[in-house]
Amino acid sequence: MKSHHIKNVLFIVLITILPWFNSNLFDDTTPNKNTEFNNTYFEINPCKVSLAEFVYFEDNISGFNFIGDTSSPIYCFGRISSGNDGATLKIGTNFFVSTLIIFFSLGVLIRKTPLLGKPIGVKNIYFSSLLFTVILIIGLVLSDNKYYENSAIFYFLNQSELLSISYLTIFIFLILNLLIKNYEIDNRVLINYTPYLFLFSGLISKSNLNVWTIIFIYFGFNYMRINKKSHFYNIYLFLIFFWAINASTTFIKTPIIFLGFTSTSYDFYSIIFYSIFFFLVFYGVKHLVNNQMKYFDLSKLLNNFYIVILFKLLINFLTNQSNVIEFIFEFLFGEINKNDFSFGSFFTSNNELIFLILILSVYHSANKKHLNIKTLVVLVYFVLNITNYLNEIKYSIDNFKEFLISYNPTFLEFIIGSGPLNLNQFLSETAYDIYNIPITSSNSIVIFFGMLGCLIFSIIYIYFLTEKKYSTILKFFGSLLVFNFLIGSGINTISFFVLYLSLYFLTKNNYFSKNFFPYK
Amino acid sequence: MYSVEWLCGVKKSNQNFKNIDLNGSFIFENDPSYEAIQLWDRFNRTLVVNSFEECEHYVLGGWSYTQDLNIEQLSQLIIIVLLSSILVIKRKYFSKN
Repeated sequence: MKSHHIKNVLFIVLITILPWFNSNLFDDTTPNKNTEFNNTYFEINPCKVSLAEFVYFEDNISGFNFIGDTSSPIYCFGRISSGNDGATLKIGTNFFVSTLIIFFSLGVLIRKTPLLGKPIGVKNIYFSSLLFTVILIIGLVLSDNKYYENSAIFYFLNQSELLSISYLTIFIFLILNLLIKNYEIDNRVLINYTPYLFLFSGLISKSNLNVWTIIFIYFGFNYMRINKKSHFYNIYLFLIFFWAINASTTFIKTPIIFLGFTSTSYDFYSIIFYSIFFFLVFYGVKHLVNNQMKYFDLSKLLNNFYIVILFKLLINFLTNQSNVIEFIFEFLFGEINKNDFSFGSFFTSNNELIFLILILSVYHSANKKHLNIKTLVVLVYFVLNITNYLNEIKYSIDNFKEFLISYNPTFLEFIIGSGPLNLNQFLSETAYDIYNIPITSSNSIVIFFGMLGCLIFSIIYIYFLTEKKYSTILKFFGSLLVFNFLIGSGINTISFFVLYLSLYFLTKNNYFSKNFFPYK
Repeated sequence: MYSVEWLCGVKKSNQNFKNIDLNGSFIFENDPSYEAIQLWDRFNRTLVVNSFEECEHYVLGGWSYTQDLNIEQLSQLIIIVLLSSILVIKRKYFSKN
């Protein structure tokens, strides 16, 4: 292994493992093998014992559950902040320290991606984009204020709000600056590495902020600075106006499963900020594809997908071995379904991703006229679970029926929807159980953009099917992707959203027509 | 930093425990129904107050910190200094241009 690889691995291990050893070795609290760790002990000694100390001195680790305590102060990071009912221990996962750990871990990975041959962008363009990105993020935090107040994620909100927001502004400004200056995010070939969004959720400490969305907001501002204003901007502004005036009543019922890419409140300000946010992420993906299309390589993208799937399996396996590993992995990678260890249940939880990989793999193999072993493995795995998949499709169709029964919009909402990334109103007004009945992209499009969104989506799809420049085989595989998007959670999660949108822009820019199947 | 209500609680009795002597100095009497509260300033100096009026007087005078808040703000400052230092060092010593 090359020395810089060892350095990177060591750095990642240090940054992800060391924080859990955080403890004051000189205080009076010195646990030992005879210490009885119960809720009284942690009530007397909050933030005194590190997670590592606890694991070392406690024999019955499997008898405890661990959850993150986002409202704990910085010095408490990695320490047990309270014992709750005795069996569930709260571990300090302060927002700022969590951000630093996730940011630097992802930073090391971003640094491993190759640099563009010719750097893009206008001189000094980054600064205005950076400034606007910071302003928008602060706007998003303020519009999610109720969520942050209730869940006490920002410990510092106990201070004066002005001081807290000022500190958060400086913090995000510095983090973004590092991302641009140190990790040269503008000049990296990231397009082939988007599958890693499925591995690292990028979600910071149960907040509604996600490192990936911050990057795409920045790209979105870059796109707007470089390209001329189109008429679409004005039409979208017009829509924001109607969505915002429609939000006269506040609804709060946060879809926790979509945190990082959803609004936590339906109100005037949230609608405005999240509509702008959605718009910028959309153009951020377009910016990425436009500038990096010539570097796109389907085989590299697929290889990264295979790595991600293998890692997901490995993570599920390790998660099942210990509650401590489960806690640390959930902190780093996002929510993990513990029951995913068997191949059948892993398929059920990841069927959208596996079907997506299968479509792309078979398309690639058909193009190369050679069925490689990786495609074969995915194909066999899919065929073995075909019954599961068909059941999932049937389930999605039933869900859609359930959704149509529940959905009761006003006339304006029926026509233009109630604004992107906002499910609060729908969940508050209906008895729809989002945790047991998943919301699909097709449902979300109806809620977000109403009939107008459905119409635009249909027109684009019909254009794709009827346009002669696209080959029949591309239309077939494209249709499968559209189907997978509509029955999956594509529009509600940043990973799927970025991937589907990238594939859409690549198709629109004729990448597949030029590089695959030049014949009709 | 924190509000009077947050640190001192709500005034329960109507009795006034705050007097002014001939020199214009405040004299605070102990309120037997008030549980003593420890206050800090930003330099981690501390004092104990024994009535709502005394607590309010000191909180409005700037004794509105807690030990935890002082540690938190110091930690926040360290993070900002650390991130700024990385940026400056990177720019000064590792810049390609």
